[in-house]
Amino acid sequence: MKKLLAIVLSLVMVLGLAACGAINETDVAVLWSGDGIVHVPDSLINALERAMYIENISYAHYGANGDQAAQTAKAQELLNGNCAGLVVELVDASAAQTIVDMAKAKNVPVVFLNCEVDAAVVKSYAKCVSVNSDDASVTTVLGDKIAESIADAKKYAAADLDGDGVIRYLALGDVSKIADAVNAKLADAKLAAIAPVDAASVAELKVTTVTEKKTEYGRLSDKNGAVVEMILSDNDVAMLEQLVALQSNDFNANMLKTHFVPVYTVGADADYKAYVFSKIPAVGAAFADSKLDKTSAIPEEVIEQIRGYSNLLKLATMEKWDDLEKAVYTTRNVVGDGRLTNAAAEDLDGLAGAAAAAMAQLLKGNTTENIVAVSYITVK
Amino acid sequence: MAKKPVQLDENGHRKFGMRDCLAYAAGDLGCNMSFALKSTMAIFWTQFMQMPSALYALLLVLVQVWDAINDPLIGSIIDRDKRTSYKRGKFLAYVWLGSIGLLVAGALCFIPWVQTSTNLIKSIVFVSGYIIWDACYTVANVPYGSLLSLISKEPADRASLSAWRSVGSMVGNMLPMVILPMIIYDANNNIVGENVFLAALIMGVFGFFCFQFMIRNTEIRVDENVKCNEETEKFNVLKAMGNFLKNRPAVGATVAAMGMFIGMQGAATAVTVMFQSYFKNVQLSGVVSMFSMIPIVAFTPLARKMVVKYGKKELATVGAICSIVACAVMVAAPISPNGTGLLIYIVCQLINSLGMGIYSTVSWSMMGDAIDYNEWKFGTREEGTVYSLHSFFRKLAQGVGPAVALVIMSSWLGYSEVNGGNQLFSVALNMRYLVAGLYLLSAVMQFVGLSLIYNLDKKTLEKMNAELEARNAKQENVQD
Repeated sequence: MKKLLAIVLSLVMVLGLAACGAINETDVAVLWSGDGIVHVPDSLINALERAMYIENISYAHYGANGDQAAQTAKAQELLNGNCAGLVVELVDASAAQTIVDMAKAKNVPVVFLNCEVDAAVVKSYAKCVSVNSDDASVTTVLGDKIAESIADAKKYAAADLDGDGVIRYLALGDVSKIADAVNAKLADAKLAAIAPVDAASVAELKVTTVTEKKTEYGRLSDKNGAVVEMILSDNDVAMLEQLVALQSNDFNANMLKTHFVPVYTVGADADYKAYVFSKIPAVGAAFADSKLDKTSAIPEEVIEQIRGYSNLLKLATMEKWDDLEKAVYTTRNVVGDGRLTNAAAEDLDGLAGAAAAAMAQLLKGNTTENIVAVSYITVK
Repeated sequence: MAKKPVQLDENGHRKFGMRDCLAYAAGDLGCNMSFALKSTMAIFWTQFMQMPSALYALLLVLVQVWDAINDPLIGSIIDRDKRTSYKRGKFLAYVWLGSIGLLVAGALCFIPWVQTSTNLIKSIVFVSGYIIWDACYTVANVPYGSLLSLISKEPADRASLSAWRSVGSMVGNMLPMVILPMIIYDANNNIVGENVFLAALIMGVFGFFCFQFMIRNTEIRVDENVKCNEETEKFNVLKAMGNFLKNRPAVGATVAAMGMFIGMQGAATAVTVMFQSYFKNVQLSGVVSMFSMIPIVAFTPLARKMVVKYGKKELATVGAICSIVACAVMVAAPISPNGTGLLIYIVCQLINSLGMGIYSTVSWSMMGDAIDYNEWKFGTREEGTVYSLHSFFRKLAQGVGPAVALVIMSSWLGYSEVNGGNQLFSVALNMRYLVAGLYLLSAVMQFVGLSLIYNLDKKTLEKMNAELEARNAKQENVQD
């Protein structure tokens, strides 16, 4: 019985690994601007894994860790190794032409993903495609997503925490188009438009120091009668910074003991890991060490440093580096903790699906002229 | 218009008819309104309540051990109750009592308001809720099962009741299976704890009305002086196990039944996660499960004729082979996380279910033959021992199967409670293979049990029945 179970499970594991694919000369190389490791489900890298599997393309990830020179060198190395294709999320869009020239020399197709590549660069090679979200499509996707969560009377009432008949949002950056898209849907459903929590403060919300944040966000506490019921942001990295500040300042102190506030942001790649590493350098340094034994206990001095950022990482769940690694990559540890929840982003599956579909077409020998654009996504 | 007079039998009881069958079916429907929620518990406690999977698996095994103790315990309490003052009889009174408890007991397993508490508090809430639910369920279910022999002593009537019980069970399984996923999951495939609690309450109320219908329309025609727990005498576990292991048909049927439950219940959580994160449409999981029951429904009316023609072992073995082929295809076929992949999965499931359905239709009958085999080979029937050990191993598979599957999911295959209904794609892919692997294991176990261990083929069965008949006739002659 045990043997039978072992055989079946081994079969399952082997097939699973086979399906995921190991790197070989005929694989497509996927070069990411970050570390190239799949940590969280709501990420482009995870969406691309799914899309590549659907298109039956074997692939391998490579991370540039923010270093364009390293990414370009890796691309050359992989092209020399006869990789079947390149999917590239550029660190620096200006390196696009170099990558295209290298790929063209080897007659290998290139798909640029999630980066603004000049149209002239793309047109310079018949086997080059750029797949990216444009502002209009992101606004539509995000507007639809928000509307889906509040565009009926019951859901609207649940999100209207203070029950004054209007959902009030805190705007981080220029979110007017997103709010317009939401309000158009709400008008169709005969519901009140969402409105900024404090129009004056939104315009002035350009704080740079913790002290300033304390003053600004202190005004937005429900203790002062200004309940924030939704947060809209036009920049995911900035949002992260703002969320941490909001939490540090006991934001919506009374209401959030029993309620969540949804956070919606443009952009899918908030690098929580980089953010945490920048705040707690000892953690970043430890993970940069390839000899780190992740099953070992986190030293007390690092624990002390983490303790200063308890709004970022939950110490209670961490004893070993393994635990910390999971926490670093788990967005809930940043926006969760019973205070704020769910940073929604763009259509990751759509973006990744378009990139994988484009690569599949190019691998079959088609050129850019044969590839049809996908809704919400700009395919150049 | 004059009311049609009630027709009475020679003992003054209402004549047996469709009313009894519908009432009995309603009883199983009521039981299943509560029991069907069990498959949702793992997802609720790990994804919504964020309880670590390993801890949940451990608690599940613990409550399952309690479950095994609970059945004979409550059975013996009912057996020892000699009061005659019950208006509708002892058994119906206990069913009524259980139904009152089940109004809310199902929901007690899904209390959503301790989501942010410690794991200790969550564990206490889970174990307490489960024990209360299990007690209420057993108080209703054990006497309900015994009612079959009390409603009528005629074999044909009992066969009808048994068939209608299956109908009640099937409807009771299908309703929640199809409707629940549409209610308890949100658009992002995440489970909504408050909705599960509400659904459990509604199902409790619906189940309560089913029980009331059963109680009001059930006529007891046979003396109630029977025991619903026949194993209360001194029970020597080692001796019983020894006898059981010598009985090849009983062991074979038990291995096959364990296989069936590992497939059905062990894979349940992995199936849900697969629909959440691989196909990204958990609402559809119920409809797919319903589709997979179509072959069972279609086969049931044909079962009797086919058994007579081909034999139980032969037919069930063919069913197991069908399942093995379907599950092997499920493992190897390119089931992509899109519409085409889903279609291939559904077709494989239809064939797998047909195979499993053939066995499930004849499974209890095969156990009956196994008891005859005991008498044929060893001279004693030992019904209680054989049934109780068979039942024990079935429960073992029902309890340990899901727990082991959950441990495999979280320890080896990357399943993370924190990610809820949106797991990494690599994990989703693992779930797709785990589901196929567990179904294949289930089918192989059924094949081994039915084909290699169970040794009562059509010819042997006929020989056994003839010899037992002759032996009994001889004994009757001696007694005369």
